[in-house]
Amino acid sequence: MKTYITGIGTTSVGEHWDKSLRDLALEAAHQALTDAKRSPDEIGGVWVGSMLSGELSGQSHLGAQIAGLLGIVAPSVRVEGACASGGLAVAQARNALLAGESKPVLVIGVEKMTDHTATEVTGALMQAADHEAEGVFGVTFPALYALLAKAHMEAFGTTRAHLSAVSVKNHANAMHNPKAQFHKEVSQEQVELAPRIADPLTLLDCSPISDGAAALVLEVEPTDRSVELAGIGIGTDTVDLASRASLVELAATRRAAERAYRVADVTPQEIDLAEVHDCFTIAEVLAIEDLGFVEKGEGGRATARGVTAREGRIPVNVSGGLKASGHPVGATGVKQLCELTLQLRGEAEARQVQGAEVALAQNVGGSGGTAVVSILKRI
Amino acid sequence: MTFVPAPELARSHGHHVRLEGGFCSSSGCGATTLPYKNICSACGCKMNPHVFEPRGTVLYTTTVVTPPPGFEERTPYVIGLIELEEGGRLLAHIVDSGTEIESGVRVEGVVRRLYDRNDGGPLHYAMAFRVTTRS
Repeated sequence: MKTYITGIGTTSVGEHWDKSLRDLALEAAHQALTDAKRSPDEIGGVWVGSMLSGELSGQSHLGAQIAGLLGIVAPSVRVEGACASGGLAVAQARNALLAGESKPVLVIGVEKMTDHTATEVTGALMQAADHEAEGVFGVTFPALYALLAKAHMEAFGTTRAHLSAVSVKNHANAMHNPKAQFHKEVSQEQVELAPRIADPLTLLDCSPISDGAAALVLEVEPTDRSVELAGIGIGTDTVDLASRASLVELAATRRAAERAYRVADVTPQEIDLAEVHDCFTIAEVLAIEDLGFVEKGEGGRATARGVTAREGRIPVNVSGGLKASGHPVGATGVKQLCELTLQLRGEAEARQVQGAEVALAQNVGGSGGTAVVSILKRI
Repeated sequence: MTFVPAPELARSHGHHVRLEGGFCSSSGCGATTLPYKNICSACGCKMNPHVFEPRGTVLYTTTVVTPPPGFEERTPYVIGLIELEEGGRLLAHIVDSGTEIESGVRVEGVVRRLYDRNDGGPLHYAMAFRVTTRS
């Protein structure tokens, strides 16, 4: 059985002081339903991905909450897997179709983060780490990825300039994405002279704190503007970094990718463009290696050579990625698929990758405890 | 993160100030755990409790300048991934040693107050590490 994305919707990403969690979710959901030409009473189920709604908006029970506000009485479930909540929600909704649900299903990813100070959000995000081994000691997410960066630098000669190249590229790409959080190019020098967050990472190596939502409709029958959701793989690893067998890969990504490639029956060489989880610049370096786009250890050098630029061999994060288009954590995995759907429909306007047929999204939870890899095909 | 409630503090105290972890009871497995957990992740056997010697080497470090709530007063602080001499790895604070710490340097444990909560609640101590000065 095949599954198709028949409608998409995204809010702009940024600091939406005038919009609540529910405002954002409803805006994206209505766009997706309209795009799919579906009404709420046709929907067979709702999956809502969100990590921090309870912590930052005082709102749990998001499944019934959002479905109720949409006038949907079908089964509705919230899915949580840290920053991979959105990707996991899509996977669960697809599973419902594969299990026999015949009606269209709706997936919403949403996060409202900017009502709080950076310190409070930093603390809330640490719930994605292992509380007893990491969180309780004040080990922040920038610190965890900084340690991964140090390991990669030592093992493969990856340099500070290689990390900067990720940020420079993604900020340049976001200039062409009207819904991106930042429309500001940065130079290598600006990245490296920005305030240190956790060495070697500076502020411009880090994705921002963002508000935003994304939604999509999945169905078993295509319409004329659909793209095929050809495969999803979910991979896991130990949540705490100290227990990992290797610090120079995210094994969860590799495991998720192996499954997604097999289910979709494609190889890494067949991917025309990808949206990957660059929550920190080192994460994109790891991603393009673990997804098989470049050799292990070559991710930094390949990025600096332009292999992943919009005009390169394998364009990565043409949207601007998490770094520059923003990272509303529970929405990100859904937003990536909305972006790739636009690309495969040929509707990505100034950032369109010409002739794109097969696209891949990689969504990561925590420092690699969860990874979701999804593959889309033009039909 | 919110401040650790007193019951959790009591539960985790042995790990935090004495590195109470465990070795797998299966002779062929050899897996370690820190903090202690009852079942081995590698083979499913029971873990035998073990207090680790707080000595090891630094693999990688980073300096945190954007703290979560509670850690503001000690910021910036150094976090290191440490390989213990007896086996096993953990993340811990590195103190009294500056911020330029090279990989492979030997470190030893020293118990420090993790943070001041300033609200009359229980103080939270934890094993930190410092660069070993004696040979």
